[in-house]
Order: sequence, then structure tokens, then C-alpha cells
Amino acid sequence: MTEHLSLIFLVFLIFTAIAALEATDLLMAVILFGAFSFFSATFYALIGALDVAFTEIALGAVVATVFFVSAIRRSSKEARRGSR
Amino acid sequence: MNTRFLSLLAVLFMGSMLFYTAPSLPPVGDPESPASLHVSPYYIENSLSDMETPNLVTTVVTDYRGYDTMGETVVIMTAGLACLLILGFWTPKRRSAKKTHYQSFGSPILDTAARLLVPYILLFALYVLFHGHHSPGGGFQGGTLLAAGVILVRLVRGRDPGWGVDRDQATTLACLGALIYYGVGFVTMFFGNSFLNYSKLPIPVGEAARRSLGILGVEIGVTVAVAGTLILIFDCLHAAPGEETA
Repeated sequence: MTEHLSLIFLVFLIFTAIAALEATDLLMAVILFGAFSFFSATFYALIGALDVAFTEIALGAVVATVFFVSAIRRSSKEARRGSR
Repeated sequence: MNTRFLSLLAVLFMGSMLFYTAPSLPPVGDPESPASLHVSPYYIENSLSDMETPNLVTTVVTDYRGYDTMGETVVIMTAGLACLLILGFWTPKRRSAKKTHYQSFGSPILDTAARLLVPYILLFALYVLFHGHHSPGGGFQGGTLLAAGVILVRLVRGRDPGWGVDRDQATTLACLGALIYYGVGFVTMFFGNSFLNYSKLPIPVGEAARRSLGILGVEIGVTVAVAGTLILIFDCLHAAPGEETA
């Protein structure tokens, strides 16, 4: 059961990673990256690495998202449009 | 076009090498692999008797592999200071600096929710830090949660958070955390001639309890460093355009 569940989360990981790379909007990419962090944290928790999962959810999913949004807020409109 | 082709070639080469070598790695959790044969059994058998700490991850990270974590703490502090150096003196030009940039996003709902949440976040951070000997968690996680609580107040209350840690204090905290870590190491060096050997701490308890207390001291250092660094990076990123920076 856990095997299948972790497999599902790994597939989710790949899809969110590709979607974050292909997103045209920077904010959308950041949110997808947060989802990527969430899925990887769940995967770590499923395979028993609880400390790593804890760090990933606190740093990757919460604080890094806030940092990225702050950075987007600082960037100019031209940079945002020309990002792709 | 040319660089694109070259990078594609490099990525394909690296990927094929990784896929070629990956099958020769031992399977995950294989009891016959070299790491599981020699190193892991020692940790598993001796961790509890050596330092009265059931959480193996904590003992490995902060005691058996204490040098690594010390280096990581310094790396984190350096990252925060680098952000301060790069972003602190650079403020982008914005054509219409609206007044809203200097105010909070605040609404009464956000304010009330933050008032309810933040004390529990901070308390949970301390719990994660001090209970890291027995449950998942420890310095890095506790520090991140502390920083998340302070950053949440910044996000809701905007320029005027009312309380919290300003940028100078965050810089001080980031450096102080690394100093606490080194301080524990120097105390053990002074009293026992061995750097970061917590059993040489001058505390009148048993040897295992001394090592447990040493782990706690080091974890507090890591927490302070991580919390200070994250708040510092957020402040550097969040500084309003044109605002005088320290």
C-alpha cells in the first residue's frame, strides 16, 4: 500500500516539476514549486525520513515560497514579462 | 541555438551516466550494503547508552557528525550575510511607489488570524527544538518555524509589525548562533582538550547526560542561526524600494 502511495507521489513530483518549469507566469511557477516541495515532503514521510520531511515542509514549502514571492514583488514588470 | 544544443548534449551525457551507474548502487535499506554493515550498527547500538537520546537522527547530526553541522551552520550564516551584502545596498526603481507599498496587506480577518496563530507557531517551534531529542525535529526545523512566525507577522502587519526582530538584530542573531555552536566546541576544548566532545562539558552530571546537554546547546545555536538568517533574507528581499537601508 505504502509502495503504491509513494509511487503516486513520485509521479506527482515529476508532473509538478515539469509544470513549474513550463509555467509562463512567475507566481504560478512559485506556487507549483511549493506543491513540488509538498509532494516531496510527503514522499519523505512515507519512506520514513520524518526529519527530512519536516525540514522540507517548513523550509521548502513555506519559507522558500514566501522568499520567491518577495523576490517577484521586487522584480520589474519588464523582467516578469520577459521571463519566457 | 548552439548553446542550447551543447547544454542538451551535456544533460543527456550526465543523465545517461547517472542511469548507467545507478543500478550498481545497493538497494535502499539493504542490510548488506557497506554503510549498513559498519557504521549504522554502531549508531543504533550505542546512541541511547552514549547520550540518552532516542532520536538517532539528532545524535548523528549533532554529535557523531558534529563537524558537518557546524559547517552547515556557518554556511547558513554566510548565505544570510551574502544576501545582506547583495540586496541590502540595491533598491530597484519603481515608477509609481504607491502608498500601499508601505502599508500592510492588513485586513481585520488577517490580523485576527495572525494574532491567534503566531503564539502557537512560536511555541511549537520551541517544542520542536527542545523535544528534538525524542521526536523528529531539532535545530533546523525549530529555527525555520521561529522565522516563519516572525515573517507571518511581517506579512500581515507590513512596515510596522509592532514587535519582532529588525534587520540588525537578525544579523546579530545569525552570527550569534554560529558563535554558540563554536562556543560549545571551545568550552569542551578548554576543559577536555577535545573539540565538540560534549562529554567534557563542565556540568556535574553523568557522561551521557552531559552529551545530551551538549546536543541541546548546539541545537539552540543552530536554531538561533537559522531563525536569524531566514528573517535577515526576508528583510533584504522585502525592503521597500527607495527605503533607506541600514
